[in-house]
Amino acid sequence: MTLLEIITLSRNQVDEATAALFTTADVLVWVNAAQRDIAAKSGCIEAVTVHSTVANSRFVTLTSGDKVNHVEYVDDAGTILAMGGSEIIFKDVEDDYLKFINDGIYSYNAYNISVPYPDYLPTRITPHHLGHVTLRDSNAPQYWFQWGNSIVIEPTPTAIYTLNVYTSGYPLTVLATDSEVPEIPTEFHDLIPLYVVMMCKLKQKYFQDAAMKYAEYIANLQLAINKYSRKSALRMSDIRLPDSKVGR
Amino acid sequence: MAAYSYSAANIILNVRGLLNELVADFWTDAQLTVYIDEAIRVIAERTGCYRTTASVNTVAATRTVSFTGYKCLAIEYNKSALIKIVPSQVGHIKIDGVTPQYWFELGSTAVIIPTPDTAYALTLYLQGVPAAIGATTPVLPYSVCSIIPYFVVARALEQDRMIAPAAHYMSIFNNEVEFIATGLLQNYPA
Repeated sequence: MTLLEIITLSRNQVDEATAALFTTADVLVWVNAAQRDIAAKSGCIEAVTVHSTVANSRFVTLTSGDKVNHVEYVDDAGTILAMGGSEIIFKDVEDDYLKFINDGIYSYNAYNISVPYPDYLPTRITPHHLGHVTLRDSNAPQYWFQWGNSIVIEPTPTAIYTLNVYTSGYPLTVLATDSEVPEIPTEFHDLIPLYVVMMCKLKQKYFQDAAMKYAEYIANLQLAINKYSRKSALRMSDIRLPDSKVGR
Repeated sequence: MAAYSYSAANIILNVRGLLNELVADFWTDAQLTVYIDEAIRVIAERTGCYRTTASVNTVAATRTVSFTGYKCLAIEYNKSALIKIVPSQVGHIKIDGVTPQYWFELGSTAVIIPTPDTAYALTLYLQGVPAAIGATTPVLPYSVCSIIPYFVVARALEQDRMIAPAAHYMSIFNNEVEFIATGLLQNYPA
């Protein structure tokens, strides 16, 4: 959708084809706010950037505003290895065995928290795990978590290591001309007019209409997040052969 | 073209659009800026989205170290996290040596167990107190700044004694705060 298409659709919805109560400036502000809101809530503007660790520092500084989804360690041979720390990747899978595993710290100075099978499976760590997670026999980065505008690495890197950082960001441009297309993926474009109409209703002080539109916007955004943003591994039910008894 | 900036001027432009007062009349820019700063603090306090770290040293024979922030979430010493306990556990946990091993929060201080015998370098992981917006942009994560205008409009309408409309805006703001706390930040470590 172009900016013009978004504005036309929105103005149709509020029955104000020519700017009057809703100025062109108003609508532009709301279209751009919608795009940022969708990007923030869905994490749909994704990128992978290469970062380097700093010797003897846990902290790797990011671009402001990025949300980190995954981190990979790239070794000298170019082998890429996912690091533990992202959200548990099987959280949407009903037969997820990880949910039965409790993490705990049993001794203040021991590396005695085992990562569930296999070693490379991403699992979440927190600042409380630092120094307590069982490490593979290597000084290379193995776990991470995000802290503000940094990612924190466990163990503390002793040298410079290369990381691939998967992030969700925000629009890098502000829509201004009719022919421009939002940066968020196409499948999220239809949500923008819903947000714009909601803001129009707020300005009109039609709060019941605004609440209805807000509910529609949030519901559709949630559907889009579930369908397009969530990542989950295959479940057994996805690959199981059909039951031969069905239809008998 | 650069990314949208959540400057006070841009937020006020958005707010004035919703208030239908494009040029300052009833609401001055200074008043709206006060509400922006309040919004920033409320978001930071209620969501915990503003995370900072601080390097501090213990003082010999003093159990507490001070910090500036809403909450201390974790403490690291010598590349290892100290274990968080509660005051009733003091004296009932196994101490191994004299270096910092446990901690708990007491007001704006962290109490270190055992009592440090010298200066130890600690890294505190904090839920920080955000600075005022001033001439820059909020220190909050970019992705949460979009809800500031709802709060500012609610406060502005309240100032004009339009309580019901204000409540509508505050309701949206509260919904968004809830979403940030439970949705956007659910994978942030606590």
